[in-house]
Order: sequence, then structure tokens, then C-alpha cells
Amino acid sequence: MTSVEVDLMELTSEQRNILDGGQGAELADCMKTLVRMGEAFGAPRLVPIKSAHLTGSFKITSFKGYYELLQRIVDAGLKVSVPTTLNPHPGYEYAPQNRLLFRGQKKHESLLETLGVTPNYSCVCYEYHNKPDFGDILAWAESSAVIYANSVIGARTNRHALFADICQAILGLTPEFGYLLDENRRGRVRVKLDVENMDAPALGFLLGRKCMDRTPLIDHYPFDVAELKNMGGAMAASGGVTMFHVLGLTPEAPDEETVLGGKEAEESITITQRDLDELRADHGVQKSTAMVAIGCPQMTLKEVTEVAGYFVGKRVKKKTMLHAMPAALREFEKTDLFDEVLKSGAEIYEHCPLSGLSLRIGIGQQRVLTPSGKLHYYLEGTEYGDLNDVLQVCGVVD
Amino acid sequence: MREFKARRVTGGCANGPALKTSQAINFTGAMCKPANLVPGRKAEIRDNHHELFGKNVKGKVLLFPSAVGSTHTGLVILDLVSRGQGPVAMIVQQADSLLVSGIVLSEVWYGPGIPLLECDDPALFDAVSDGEMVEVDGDAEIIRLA
Repeated sequence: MTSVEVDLMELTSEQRNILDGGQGAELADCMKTLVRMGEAFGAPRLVPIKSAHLTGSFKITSFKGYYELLQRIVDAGLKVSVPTTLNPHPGYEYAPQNRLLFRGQKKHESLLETLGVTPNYSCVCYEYHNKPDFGDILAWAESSAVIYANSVIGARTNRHALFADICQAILGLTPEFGYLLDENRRGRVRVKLDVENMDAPALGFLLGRKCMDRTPLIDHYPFDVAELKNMGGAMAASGGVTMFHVLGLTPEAPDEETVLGGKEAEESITITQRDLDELRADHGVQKSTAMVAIGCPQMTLKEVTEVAGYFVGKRVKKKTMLHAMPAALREFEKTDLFDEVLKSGAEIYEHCPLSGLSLRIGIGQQRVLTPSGKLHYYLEGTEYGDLNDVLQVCGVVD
Repeated sequence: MREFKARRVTGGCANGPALKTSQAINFTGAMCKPANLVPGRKAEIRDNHHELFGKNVKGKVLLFPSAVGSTHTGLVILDLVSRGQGPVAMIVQQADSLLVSGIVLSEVWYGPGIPLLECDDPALFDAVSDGEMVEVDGDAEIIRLA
């Protein structure tokens, strides 16, 4: 183990000892990963984190590196040192292609659990198992969780890639740069709303496109938790947005001057009703889809309860798949509404719809209708409709 | 010979034909698609929201504004770089943690790395045309066009 030249980052003697291999080669490589990342962004030091959230919950057979490295650190006996949650299970059992693509999933999950990771299996980790406070420093991966933590909770995390997230969870440290620093949390694009019927996922999809990686400051609108989640998820898919502000709603946006840091916004844009509506496919196209998928990011208990209400006493006209976070689904299963949803013919899952549907679409060419801006972005062969459109196509709303 | 100053994010030197886009790239959306997942897989951009749809990035000097989207970017870049299946260098206007992590993971845990440079000089992006040979010197922080 050779010593690494560190000229930019200041390390404590313990961190230096780990880097020099004093606690084993694998821990040294974890440290080296953080130091190199930090150097790339001019981070002055590593800072402690309150929690981690891992993105790499899928065993995708075609990729190798991540899984080899995971096996290597598990064999070395390394464990996470901070509370660490995990993204959803992939795939549905029924699709043979998925069984092939996600072969080895159970072993992959057991490796992650051996590291000491909480088996929450949800991208909405902040609802039950990993609830940061305002100002907490985190090392989260999963773009939809990162944007929620920064924007809605006011915690601080950069968007981390898989395995880099594990290195940070093991060491309990993150390089100090980017969204950990006040000056990088300011609003850069001023977004005015000229909208009568809000469609938060569509707004998120458009803002991702327009803002790319710049933080938007959006006019006040009383978005609820599910809307903030679904809007953020879309923004972090079509763009690389890591944080957004909503005036008078999100915790770091009491007023315009505070968010902009006394400066002018780099750009000012207006999103109109027409912009939102244009993302929605024509009614005929929507009706021609083969199935409906709702819940990406996974639905919270409140969200699934609200959506379920539409299915009571109805019969779906199209294959309909709802996706909820496992902990929410366990609670929802105890309610009468759960039976009503099943009676309507709709299906309800705790998996990730994106991974579950990916190969089915590629091979089957069956188009999917979704009110999720994130799923619409990622999944080949999707059409977008707002929730009302989609419920109409399901045949549960007139 | 035209030279452009750039900022080193990860070091190293490489040569290759340019592949340029003014659209940000979502590597998860681009690479986690059937054509790139089956045996003998390719490294084609299969994101049908993207103007480079169908283009193979292997061996190229890839010029794009920034990476966007899912944190699975690291999974994709790690394999592309560690197995020599991806671009030989990347030039972006702004580097982000996902792109950097993928390269760093390959370097630290496997050995191979590629230069990633930041250059926000619009003249570079205007001057380069697709297929033109680009020389990237990550250590000297210089990009040369023949």
C-alpha cells in the first residue's frame, strides 16, 4: 500500500492512517475514493455524515464492477458506520426477462444487508427509516431522495454515485464541497408560474430540462409532500437538479432575496399552463397504451390511500400497476381500501416500476401510460398523462 | 493546431475522434437499455430524448455540457472505464459528482482512468466537429485540435 499524495485536502491523523493502509487495504481504498473525489472538487476536508442512502439495490447482471467491489468489501468484513438505507427491489416476478436480467438479486441484497444496511427497500427513505433534520450533512445517492433532502428538509448532500455512497457509509465521512456549502445552495433560475391546474411532475420534468444542474427558485405554490417528491424526482431525471426552492414553502426560501443571496437570478423563466399541458399525450394516444404505471418515486401511505379512493367499486379497463414504498404498503394492506383496489383489478407492488418494466417494454413494445415525470423520462415507450388523465384511462374516473 | 485551456478534474492523456453534443447526457437513461445490456453489448446512447441517440461512445473524446439524471451513472461509467468500453476522454462544461465518482472508482479500485476536463470556453465547443481528432492532456490541462 503506497502513500497517496494529498496536497489539497487536510486529513486528520486517523484519516491519514486509514488512507495509508493502517486499517486494511479495502478501507484504504474507500478513503482514497473520497480523497480523490474531494480533490476533483477542491474540497478542503472530509466531514462527518448523519446518514447514508444507497442507490445500488438492483443486481443488473450485465454490469460487473460495482458487484465485484461490493463482494470485495463484504469479504473484508467492512460495515457501514452510520444509519444507511437502500433503494427498492427491482423487477416483478412474472417477467422471465427480468428474472434473467436481475439474476442474483437475492444474493446481492444479502451482501448489502451484511454491510449493515437497513432493508427498507425504498427510494422514499426519508418517510420512515432515514429522517434527517434541517442542516444535517448526509451522503445520499438516489437522485429523487437527494433533491428532496436538500430542498424540502434542508439537509445537505451532494448526489453520490453507487459504491461512492458505500465508501461514505462505511467511513461515515463525505468530502466537503458542492451542496454542503451555503454559496452553492442559492437559487439561480427564477421560475414564475402562470398555471391554473398544477401538475407537479410535469413542472418538474420541464424544469429539469430548462435548469439542467442549476437550482430553480419557484413561485409560491402550496405543493403537498407527494407533489414535492414527484416534482423533484422528475427534475432530477430530465435534468441534474440537486435542489429547488419554493418561495415561502421550502425551508431555505423565506423570501426571494435570501434565496438569491442578494444577487440577480441568472435567468428568469415562466411556466404556463400550456407548457404543462403539452407534456400530456393526446387522449387517443393515452388510450392506446397497454398499461398504466403509477408510483415513481414510490407512493407514500397518504398518496396510495388517496389514489386508491378512486378505485372503490370500479373495475379497471386497462392493466394498472400501483407502486408503494414497502413500509407504507404494510400499513395499507391492513385497510379495507387495499381489498377494494385488488377487487377493481388493479395490482399493487413494492418494487421499482422503472426496473420492473424496462425489459418488458424493450422486448414487448407495449407502451405504458404514467403520471410520473421520472418514469416518463427513463422508461422507453412511455406516454405522460396527469393523474386525472391516467385515472380516466384506467376507467375509474369519468 | 488550436489549443484550449481547461481545468483538470481527473488526470491522464488521450487522443480520439470527437463526439459532441450540446445536450446534457443521462448515462443511466442512455446505457441501461437492452442494446447495451445483452452479451457483446455496445456503448450506444439509447436515450430517445437525446440527439446522440444510436451513437457509440467507445473510443471517442466525448464533449457535452454536463451529466444529468440517476445516480446509477457511477455504475455505468465504472464499467465503461474499467473495461475500456467507453470514451477515452470526456470534456464537460461542468463536472458533477456522479461522473467523477465513476472515473475515480475505476482508477482507485481497478487501475484504468480517463481524463475528465472542464472547459467552459464556448469557442472549443464551436470549433470541434464530430470525428475530428482531439488530443486531451489532462495533466497539462490543455485540449488540442489538429
